[in-house]
Amino acid sequence: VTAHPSTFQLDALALGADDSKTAAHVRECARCAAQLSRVQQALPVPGWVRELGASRRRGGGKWSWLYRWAIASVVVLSAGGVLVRMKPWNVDQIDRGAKGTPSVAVYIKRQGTVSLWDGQAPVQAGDGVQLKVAPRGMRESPSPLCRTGRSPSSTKDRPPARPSCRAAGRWTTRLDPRCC
Amino acid sequence: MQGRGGRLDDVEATYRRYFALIREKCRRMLGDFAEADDVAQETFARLWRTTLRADDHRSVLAWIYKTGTRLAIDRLRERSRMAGADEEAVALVQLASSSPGGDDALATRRSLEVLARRLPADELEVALLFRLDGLSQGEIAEVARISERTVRRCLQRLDERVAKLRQEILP
Repeated sequence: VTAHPSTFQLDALALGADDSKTAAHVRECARCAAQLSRVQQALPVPGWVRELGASRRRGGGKWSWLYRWAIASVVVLSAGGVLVRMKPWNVDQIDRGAKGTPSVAVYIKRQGTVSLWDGQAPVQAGDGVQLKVAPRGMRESPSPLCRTGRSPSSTKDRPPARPSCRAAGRWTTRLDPRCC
Repeated sequence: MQGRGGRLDDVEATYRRYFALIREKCRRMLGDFAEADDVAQETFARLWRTTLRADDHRSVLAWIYKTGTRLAIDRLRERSRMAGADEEAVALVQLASSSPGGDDALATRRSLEVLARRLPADELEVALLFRLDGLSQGEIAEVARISERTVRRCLQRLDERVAKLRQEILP
């Protein structure tokens, strides 16, 4: 190991460290004295340094944005947590009820004319049959049509006055003459 | 220079206090003054963004040594790609004969530069601090934030690696 102090020791001395042994060495060693004087020289402050200082004053830099986002996230999450805690989470308060009965409507298309089936009139071979299950709320309950080859079943509830294609499930078929 | 929280708070005072030694450290590692000044500037900019305490000069100095060394290693690796086999042979011979922190710092720096691509970053970092800056194992541990035992292992691995390379490259 060299008799010279390390550059780390010399730099620490330059920064004001209380190191009498290194200081004594520097007084007798031209090489270390030169090293010390190089790191202690006064340098003119260039423009990029001032810009660096100004960027911190402006709150610039990627870290400041990171801090802002972190703080905002913490605030939002805390507020959310408070709201969740304030709202009583009681299962009894959840809207519960019996599943509604679906409205089933049967439409008959005969010779180009569509009419609501009244549940009584006989269905003829060649009739087009459209089954519409109108949900109650978001509930839908489709049922098979003419699976057994018999007439379609009657409605359980009154069908809507005007059939809506948006909120209902629809199945359309044409009756096979052999099953009616 | 010290703010309310003790953070480096006056950029010009910080520059006057630390930049000369940062630049000197970078020139020692890289040789090329223009490139060293670039790395020194980058090191200073990073120092300014830290939350190091302004009154803890030793911690700031250790941080400068660590960061400056790591930034310089990136440059050394780039240069190392262009080194030929004959240069590697010379570097291996030189490293085997040089002493840490000795007067042949220029040749040691050049040798580490040539071999930079063949050495792992942690070993190269310890090698630069030990052979070029002449830091003790305790000081390297302080700078790199590792134990002295790890420093010893790292230096041992470095010696083994250099010996193996000598077997491979030298006739």
